[in-house]
Amino acid sequence: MMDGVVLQSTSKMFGSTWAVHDISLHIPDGSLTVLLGPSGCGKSTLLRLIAGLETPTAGTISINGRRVDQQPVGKRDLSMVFQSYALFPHLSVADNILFGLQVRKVAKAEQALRLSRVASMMGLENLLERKPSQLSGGQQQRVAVARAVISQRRICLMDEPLSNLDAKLRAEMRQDIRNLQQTLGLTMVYVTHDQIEAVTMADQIVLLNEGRIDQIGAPDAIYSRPATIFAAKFIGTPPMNLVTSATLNAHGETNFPEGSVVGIRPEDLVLDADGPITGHVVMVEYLGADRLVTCKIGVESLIVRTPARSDLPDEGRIRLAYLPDSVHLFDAKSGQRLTQ
Amino acid sequence: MRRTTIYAWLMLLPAMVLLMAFTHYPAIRTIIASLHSTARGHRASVFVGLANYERLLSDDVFKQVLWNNLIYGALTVPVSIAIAISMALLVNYKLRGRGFVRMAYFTPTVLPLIAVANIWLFFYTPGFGLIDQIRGMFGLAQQNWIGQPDTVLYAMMVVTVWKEAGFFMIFYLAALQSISPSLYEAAAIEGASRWTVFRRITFPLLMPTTLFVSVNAAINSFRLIDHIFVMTGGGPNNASSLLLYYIYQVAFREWDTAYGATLTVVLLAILLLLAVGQFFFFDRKVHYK
Repeated sequence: MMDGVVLQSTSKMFGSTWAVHDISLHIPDGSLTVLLGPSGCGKSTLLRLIAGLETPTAGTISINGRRVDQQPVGKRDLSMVFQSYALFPHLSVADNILFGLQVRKVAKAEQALRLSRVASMMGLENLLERKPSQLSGGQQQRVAVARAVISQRRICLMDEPLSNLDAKLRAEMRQDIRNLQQTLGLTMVYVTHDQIEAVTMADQIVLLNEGRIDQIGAPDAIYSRPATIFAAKFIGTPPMNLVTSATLNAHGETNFPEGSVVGIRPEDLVLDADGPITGHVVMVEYLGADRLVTCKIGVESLIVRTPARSDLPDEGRIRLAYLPDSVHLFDAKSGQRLTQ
Repeated sequence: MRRTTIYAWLMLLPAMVLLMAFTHYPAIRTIIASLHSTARGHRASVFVGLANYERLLSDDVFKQVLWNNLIYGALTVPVSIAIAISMALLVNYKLRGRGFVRMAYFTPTVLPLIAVANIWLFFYTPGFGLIDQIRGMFGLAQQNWIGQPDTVLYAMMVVTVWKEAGFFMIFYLAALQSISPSLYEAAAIEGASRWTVFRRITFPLLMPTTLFVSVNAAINSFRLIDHIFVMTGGGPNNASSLLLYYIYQVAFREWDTAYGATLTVVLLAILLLLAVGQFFFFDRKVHYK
């Protein structure tokens, strides 16, 4: 028996297309797992399969060793926060939070106790009598989280909970949710398309592409060893430089294998008068601490992250060097990682 | 500034002329007429004060039609709403032949009530009417549904409910489809039963529609009398007569126009009360957005 959520060859077909295809996955108890991918990659469908809002076409889902894929949604003992928050517009904040406890006929005194505890945890004490329409987006979001927390269910699913908030609030809520998950020891499955959210919050990232798992791993593992070109492109801002070996070999004193794609992260490149790669600067983007220098190498380009206080060479032509062991090699056809 | 004011009045003019000519002016004329006697032969109409209203208080037929109308409204409004909601919930599910069922439910709305009343006349016919034929199969006795005072009003209500429920269903269907599915999903995650979901979420969220529909149904219960004309003529013994039908009889059969105007004022007052009630009472409780 394995604790947490286990998916085995889970698939879901809509019409004639696989929304989720052959996913096998272990979400450990008490961890925060992020399902990450571009829109249409099947991450939300996967979450809904775990929730029970969809039934899998094939494969199994078990929670704490118990098969649940044929169980109705209410019996799975998990909570969920929706992207739209799904607050009941006609109920007060208090009733929204208490809805599940009322449905399950938890004793009134217990309800009041849990409500006051959760309300103070989420900073909602003064808003309990309001209707959802009288709240700001961030407050609505906290109500939605409070509704999940008050259930005291061990597993919490979150479907892009921060996508409707502005950037500043999102950064705050990111930390709040992560703290909450760790304090309460929740098993959290968190869907997002935002790789920054994924990298900052996750214990484990499940990177999805076209309904399949592209790579599973801790954020730093995926960042430092992307398994595919897709993973290399998806994680990191700015994304990893990916250029064909042919271009690099033609414009530098390098010898990368033919038919491969070379990946080097912008921070692993340095402007170096003795470097092996030649190019010329086409654009400089100032970020405060850093500067992103876009260099043209033949028909392709490389982005270099340099400290903003270092000087740029006067003339456009430059030479680049890369840090040892920082090169990722991928097969150009399959997109799979080749080296190391 | 002046120009825009004139412009605004000009824009309002067509609607205002129509409203005043065909709604406000007749209403005021009616009130004035109710304070006068009916002109007959050589006797011209004279001001009689509240005499017509005094007559109203001692008019047993008026009391009966008002009572009929209250029962009629009190039953047809909630029953047609309940049926409309049930039908809307049913055809909102993904069932096979949903389009056909929706159309079938809506058909009574499309058919003219006069024509429909004739069909119902056949249904109710004692002996060989549809209802009595079915009753006959179970060995039940013949019933003259619209010929006896204690059943006729209810028989009329059935026709009204049948006619109106499908129309109201359309409003409920539209309202149901505007409820976000994620609300139902959130409730499902909490393990709420179907009935709980309906009671705590669907029904409250349908309240604005229920208000709109109930006001319309209440107004219709005073307004829709085509089937009374065709099926019973208000009989037997005024048992199926409603206020508007009585007004018609008094004003255009007996040509007692002053008393007809008095009855009309009562009808206007009732409709006004309904509108005011909606505005001040329900509106606040229902709209939460």
